[in-house]
Amino acid sequence: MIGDEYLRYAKRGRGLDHDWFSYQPPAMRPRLRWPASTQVALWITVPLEVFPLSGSNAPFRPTGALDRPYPDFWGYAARDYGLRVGIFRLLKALDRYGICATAAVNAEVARRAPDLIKSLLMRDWEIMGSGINMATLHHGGLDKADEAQQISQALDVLRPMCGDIVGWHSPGHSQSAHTMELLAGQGIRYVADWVNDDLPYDFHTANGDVVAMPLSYELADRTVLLEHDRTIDEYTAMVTAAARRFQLEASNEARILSISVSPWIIGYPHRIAAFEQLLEDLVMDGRVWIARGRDIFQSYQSQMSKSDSVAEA
Amino acid sequence: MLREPSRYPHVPYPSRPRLVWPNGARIAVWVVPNIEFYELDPPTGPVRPAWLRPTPDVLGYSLRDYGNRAGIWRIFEALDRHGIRASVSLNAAVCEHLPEIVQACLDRDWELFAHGIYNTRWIYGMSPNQVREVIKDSVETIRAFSGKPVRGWLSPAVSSTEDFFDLLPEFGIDYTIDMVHDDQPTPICVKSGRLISIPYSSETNDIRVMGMRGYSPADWAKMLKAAFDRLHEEGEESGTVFCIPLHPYIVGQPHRIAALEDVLGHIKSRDGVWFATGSEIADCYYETFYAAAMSTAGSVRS
Repeated sequence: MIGDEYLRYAKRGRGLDHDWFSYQPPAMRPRLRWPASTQVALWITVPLEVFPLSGSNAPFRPTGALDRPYPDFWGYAARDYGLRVGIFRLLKALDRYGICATAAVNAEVARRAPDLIKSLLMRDWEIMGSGINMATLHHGGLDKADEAQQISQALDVLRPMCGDIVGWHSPGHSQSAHTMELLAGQGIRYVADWVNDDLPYDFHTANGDVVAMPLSYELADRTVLLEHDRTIDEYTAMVTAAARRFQLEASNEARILSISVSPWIIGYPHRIAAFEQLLEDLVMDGRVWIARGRDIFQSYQSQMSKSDSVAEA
Repeated sequence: MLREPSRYPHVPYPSRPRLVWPNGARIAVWVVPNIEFYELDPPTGPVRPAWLRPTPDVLGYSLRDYGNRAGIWRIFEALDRHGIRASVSLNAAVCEHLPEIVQACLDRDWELFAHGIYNTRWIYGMSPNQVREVIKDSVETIRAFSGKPVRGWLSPAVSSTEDFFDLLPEFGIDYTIDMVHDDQPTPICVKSGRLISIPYSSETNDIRVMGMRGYSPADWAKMLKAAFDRLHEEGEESGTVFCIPLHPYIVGQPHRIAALEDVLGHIKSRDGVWFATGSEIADCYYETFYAAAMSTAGSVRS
C-alpha cells in the first residue's frame, strides 16, 4: 500500500510548480516582431556530435545514441559518417539557399575537426555550445561542481576557436536543476533545451536571467526519421505543415520554425534531395526570415528592452 | 488478483436492443481533450517513476508543458471554428495552477470531468479510503471552480485498483471512460448506485498513434476518418459512439493541428451526427436504454 504522503501536494497552487519561469501563453505576452518583412523566422540548428564507442547511455539513452552492445562499431561509424560526408552535403544544400545555420557543437568535434569549425565561421554560421560529447550528459544525478566543470571544459575548447559563444544546447535536451544557473554563470545568454514554447521567454536563475529558446524535438530529424521510423517525405510534409501553420499565426505575432537536422541523418544521399526541395519551398518568395539563434535572441532582447543585448559578431 | 474485470457481462453486439440517438442521429461524436498537469518533481509512483529521466526530466516535462502554453489554444480555435463543444478530461490541480485554461473551457460551455489530481499521481496500491480521497478531491475541486456537477471520470494514466469502479458512484460519477471494450455505452456493474462506460479510444488516441508510434498527422487523420465512416455506417442499425481523444501537447503542435481540422471538417460534412458531451450521451443512455440493457444483461456479479 502507498503511504498517505502520496496524497499530499506541496506545490499545488497558482502558477507552475517551480520558480524558473512563469506561465504565459504566447497570446498573453507582449507582441514580438522580427526585424524583417515576414514574421516567421527559419532557424536551422545542425548538431555536430561525437557518440563515444565507450559511452554508457547512463542514466538514460538520449535520442539517437548508440543502441547496440559494445563495441558498436556499426553505430559509431554511422554517426561519424555525418562529420566525414553528411555535413558537406548539408552545407552545399544550405549554401545554395543562402542559409546561415547554428551549429550545436560537442567540444570533442571542435577538437577533432577544427577546420570544419573554421569553415562554418567563414560562412557566418553561429556556433552554439553543446557539451563535451553525447555520452557526457547533464542530468539531475550530477554533483553541481562537477557539472560546472563539464560546462567550462566544453566552453574552454570552443571559445578560443569561435570567439564569443552565447547559445547552448545540452546533449539530449537534458539538464540538471542547476544547468541553467551554471550556464548563465559562464556567460551563456540563451539555451535551447526546453521544448514548451513557440517563442523565447525569460528563465530566472541565481546568476540572472537566461533566455529559453525553442528547439523542436517533435520535428527533429532524429525523432521523426529514426525514433519514429518515418520516411523523408513524411518528414518534409510535417515541416511544411508546421510552416503553413506558423504563416497563418504570424499575421498576429512572430513565430519561429526551429528545426534541427543532423548531418548523420539528413545528410544521406537518399534524403538530401527531399530536404533541398523542402528548403526551396520554405525560403521561396522571402516567406521566412532566415535567422541564427543569436539573431533571434538579439531581437528578443532588444524588444524586451534589455540594455545588455549582444554585440554583433 | 482478479482473473477478469467482471464489470460488464458478455453481451454480443448483434443481440442488443437498438440504440437511436436524439433526432434520429446514428452516431454520437464527442471530443475529449485531456488537460493535464505533470509535476516537475513528483514522489516516485507505486509502479514506476513518473519520469524516464532523472529529475528534472526537462524534455518530458517541457514537452507536456507545451500543451498548456501553446497547444490547447490551437485546440480552442479549431473547435470554435467548427462550433463543437468538448468534454475535458481534467486534472483537478489545473484549476489551481492554470485557471486561465479552465476558465477558457467554461467560457465555451465545455463539460469538465475528472481526471485525478495530477497526471503524475496514479491510483495504484491505494486503500479504498485513499481512492475515495482522490475521487472526492478531484470532483470537489473542479465543481468549486465551475459551479457544475462533475459526472465523468478517467483515471490519470488509466491507473486503477480492483474495487475502484465501486467507489465512483459515491461521488456522483455517472460515467467512466477507463474501459474501451465497446463502440456503445454499456452499464458497468458496481456494488451500489449506477455507472456506465462511454466509448473512448486507445487505438486512435493521438498520444498512442502520433506521440508514441510516431504516425504522421496525415495518417492519424486517415485512421480517424476511417473509424468515423464505419461507425457512421453501422449506426444505421444501432447507434454508435465515436470519440476523438486529444492531448494538447501532441495534436496542438503546429505540424499536427491541421490534421484535427481535417477530421472535424469531414465529420461536419455528414448527416445523422449528434455532437454531444459526455453528460449528454450519459443522460440519453440512462433515460432511454439503460433499463433495457440491465434487464438483458442481468448481473455479472452474483
